[in-house]
Amino acid sequence: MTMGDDGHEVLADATSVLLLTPAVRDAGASAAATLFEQGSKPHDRVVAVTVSQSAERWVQAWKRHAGPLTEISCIDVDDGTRSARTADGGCATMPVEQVASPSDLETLGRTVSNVLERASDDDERVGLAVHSVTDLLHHVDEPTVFKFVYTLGEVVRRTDGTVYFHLDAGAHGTETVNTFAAACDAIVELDGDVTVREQSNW
Amino acid sequence: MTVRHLVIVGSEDPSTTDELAAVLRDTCTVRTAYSTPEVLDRLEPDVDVVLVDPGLGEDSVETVRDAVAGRELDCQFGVLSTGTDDRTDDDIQVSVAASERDFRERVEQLATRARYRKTLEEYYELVQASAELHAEDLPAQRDQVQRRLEALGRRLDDAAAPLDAEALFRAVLDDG
Repeated sequence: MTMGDDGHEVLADATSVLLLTPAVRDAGASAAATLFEQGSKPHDRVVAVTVSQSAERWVQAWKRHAGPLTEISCIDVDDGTRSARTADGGCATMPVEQVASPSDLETLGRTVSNVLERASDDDERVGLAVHSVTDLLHHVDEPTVFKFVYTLGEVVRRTDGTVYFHLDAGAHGTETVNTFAAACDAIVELDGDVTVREQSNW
Repeated sequence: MTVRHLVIVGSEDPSTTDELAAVLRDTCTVRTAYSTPEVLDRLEPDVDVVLVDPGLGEDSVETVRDAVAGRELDCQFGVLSTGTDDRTDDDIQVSVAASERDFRERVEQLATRARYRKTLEEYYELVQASAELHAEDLPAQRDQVQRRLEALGRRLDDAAAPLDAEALFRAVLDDG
């Protein structure tokens, strides 16, 4: 996956990025890993927020594409139904915070904020990967998820970090994709090619 | 531009209610209420903060909180308390035993949260309109909406600035 100089410039200026990928297994984690690696803004720690996929599985996919130097933490949102539905791994061997309900976005927001604050105290710049907005939309209505995404972008901006919000474009109508594009500074679309656009050019 | 917030103060004792209202009137527009039904009468979409004294009657706090949620209002809710040692959630507790300055600041904090919530709601509605125009391929109208979005985005930045991360999430995601 490669992108042109224009794409690098757009992403260097962006805090919140909507990552549109096809519904291929691990596509979100792989794309986020590659984008964080290629990005001009270095991150000391990557924090993954995982919902339907386990933290461990996300990290496995991440490690196939990213170098070993970045520290990784996870915020695993699991209401207890995942292990009964899939067998994709248990607790991972990295710091994992648990949030019990994907419907409780206020708790999720505060948990992410606390992780960002601790990283900031340690002078770490954080790259956050939310995997995924599609999963959150299975549990919470669109207006609420939009406000969560917008507000989390604002919180990450204060720490000089970056947040990638993964959305499975094929799972939603055009209006939903456009709505979430408006909550972010830039949009990366992976559909064979890599297209990077500023929000104002979407 | 200084924004005057709209606050409802509801307490059973008229003199206490009026004293609290007087403290706030330098910076806010205040409506007073001396009973739970009066509080409910004054609850309108332009209200930023509603302060309720549990002494208004049994279930007064729950009744007003349910009305705020049921009417989908974006105001913030506070419970008037005489101290900081009761069992009310600290985040909605507004101590009347505090100094006038602290009381004003606490109400201002709740009003600022309401302002962020309302502005983000307005932003979302405009984003939806823009997304529809995008889908219908109406670029001229969409450019117009885009300019309004940019202006509203600046107002949203201003509304968010005084709030810490916890207050931002609480403002938009706490529905009582």
